[in-house]
Formats: sequence, C-alpha cells, structure tokens
Amino acid sequence: MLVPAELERTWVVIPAFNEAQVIAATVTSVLKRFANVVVVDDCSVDGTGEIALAGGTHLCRHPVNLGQGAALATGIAYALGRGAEAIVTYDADGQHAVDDAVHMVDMLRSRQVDVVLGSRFLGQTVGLPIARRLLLGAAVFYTRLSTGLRVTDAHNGLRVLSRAAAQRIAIRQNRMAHASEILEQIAEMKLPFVEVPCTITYTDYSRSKGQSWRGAVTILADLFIRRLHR
Amino acid sequence: MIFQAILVVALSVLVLYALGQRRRSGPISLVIILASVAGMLLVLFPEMSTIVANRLGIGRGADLVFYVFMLIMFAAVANLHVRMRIHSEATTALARQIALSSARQPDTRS
Repeated sequence: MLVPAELERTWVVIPAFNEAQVIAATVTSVLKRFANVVVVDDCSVDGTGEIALAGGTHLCRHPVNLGQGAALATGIAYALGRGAEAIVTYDADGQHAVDDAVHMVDMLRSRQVDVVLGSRFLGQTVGLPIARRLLLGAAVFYTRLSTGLRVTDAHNGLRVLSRAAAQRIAIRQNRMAHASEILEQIAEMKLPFVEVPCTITYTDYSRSKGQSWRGAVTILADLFIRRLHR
Repeated sequence: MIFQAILVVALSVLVLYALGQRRRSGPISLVIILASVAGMLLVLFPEMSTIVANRLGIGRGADLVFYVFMLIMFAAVANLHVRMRIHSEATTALARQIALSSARQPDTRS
C-alpha cells in the first residue's frame, strides 16, 4: 500500500447500513489510497460491519439503528479521537471515486480551506435518472435559499473536513437531513470552503438506496422540527 | 345521573393520580388537577359552561369546552414531542459512546 505522508493523518469515514453486497468493493478501493478508514455500521443485520473489518477498516458499530447522520457523527468523533487532521466522508454504496477523495484532500491543503465539497453537477455524472436530477436541483435551490451558500450540489456524501471544521460542526440530525445541516453550519460559521467536481456513478444498487421524493419530505420535516427548538 | 357519576369518579381518580405525580412533574400535575376539578364542576353544573362561554364571547358552553380541549391536547402533544426529542438525543449519545468504546481495529498482522 502506497500512502503519501500527507494522507497519514487523513481518515475516511464510511457510514453503512445493510450494505453487505457492496461494502467489500468500496473499502477495497478506498484502502488502495487511504491508510485510515473507519466504517460505522449503523446496526446492520447483514454482516456489513464484519465484512468491512475483515477488509481492513476500523469498525464502530451502533447498538441500535440511528440513521446516516448519527453514523457520520460517530465516525467523525472516532477519527478525531485518533488524531485525524483531515476527515473524508464517503458513501458506502460505491458511488464515489476514490481518486476524487484524494484530490479533495489535496485541495483542502493547497487552497487553505476548512471544507471541500464534492459536486456531481460540476463533474461527471453517470446514469443519473431525470427524476433524481430534478429532486437534487430542488435540494440545491432550497440550500441556496436557506443558507445563502453558492453551492451546486446539496446532498453529496463526499466531503473533506479539516480537523478544526470537524470539531466545530455538530451533526444533530440523525437521519438524512444532516447534509443540509452541515451546509447550514458552514454558512453560519463562515467556514471557508470550495466545491470540487466529482464523479458519481449511479448503479441500480445506488439508485435503489438513494433518496426519493418521500425522503425529501422527511428531510424538510426534520429540518423544520429542528428549527422549532434550537 | 349515571353518566355524571361515572365522570365524577373518573375525574377524581385523575386528581388522585396527579397528586401522586406531583413531585415528579409539578406543573403538569397542577394543570391536570385544575382541569379535572373544572371538569367536575362542569359535569355537576353544566349551565356554568354557557355562562363562562358567553362572557368570553363564545355562543355555547359545549364549544368552549371543545376549544379548551383542543388547546390542552396541543400543549400535551408539544410536551410529548419535546420529551421524545430529549430521549432520542440521549439514546444517540449512549449508542455513540458504546460504538466508540467497543470500536475494533483491523488485524494488522496480514
């Protein structure tokens, strides 16, 4: 395994829930470029966590299912505890390209920002269904409206956070609304960020796991409820 | 008179229950006691509700009771919601702590 010095203190956090079909391929490709990978198994029932551990990642396992946001927060806490200087968030379903993640870690350093966001709309998107494109467009519109951030993608699982940013961002949305929540906090704290094109490969598998219109309604409801008692 | 008797007994039980819960959640048990006593008065003197309703600009006593019921229900739902949220945050913190303290590392011998 060839890991450049600057990636030694970089941690990749992969939240996973019932991803046994794909997790092995995902961790294998990530471990080719990153030495430190933690999979947060959100109480899967299909052995996802064990597969990841056998594949060479660290493993945190929630004793109850909490949601992707909670899994990310757990993984980030674990990485910070291990002295991570940069933290990559990465989806388990294999939709991201590991080279994009490496490039984004480089950007974090070279552009001296606290957050690097992947954007599928600046990059290539393979096999994105039209309904999903419309839905993501609506999410981007909502994010621009509510945070004022000029982003081109809102619900992309690929991000890089500096240690300082990871310490300050508090993910309290346990389910899927954390993506908007992270952007809201970036806006509130005025954390310097850049967006970087990234490739997302939609497979039948990732399409079936992704967000639907119903999911979007749940996300909006979660965000609204949070507003009620902040 | 049978139904009035049932209601008075039920509301009395509620008052006793609320008195028992006083130490655990003071304000809520006070609200339950006040509402139950008011309920008993209305059961025994139904015309009272119409008098109060007219004072407040509502036509019928039954309407007043209905509106107050709605308000109490809304407050109860809001209260339960906040409690659920607190519980879910506690569960999250607990689950996270367990996940972090039982984290496993990859086998580095290979």
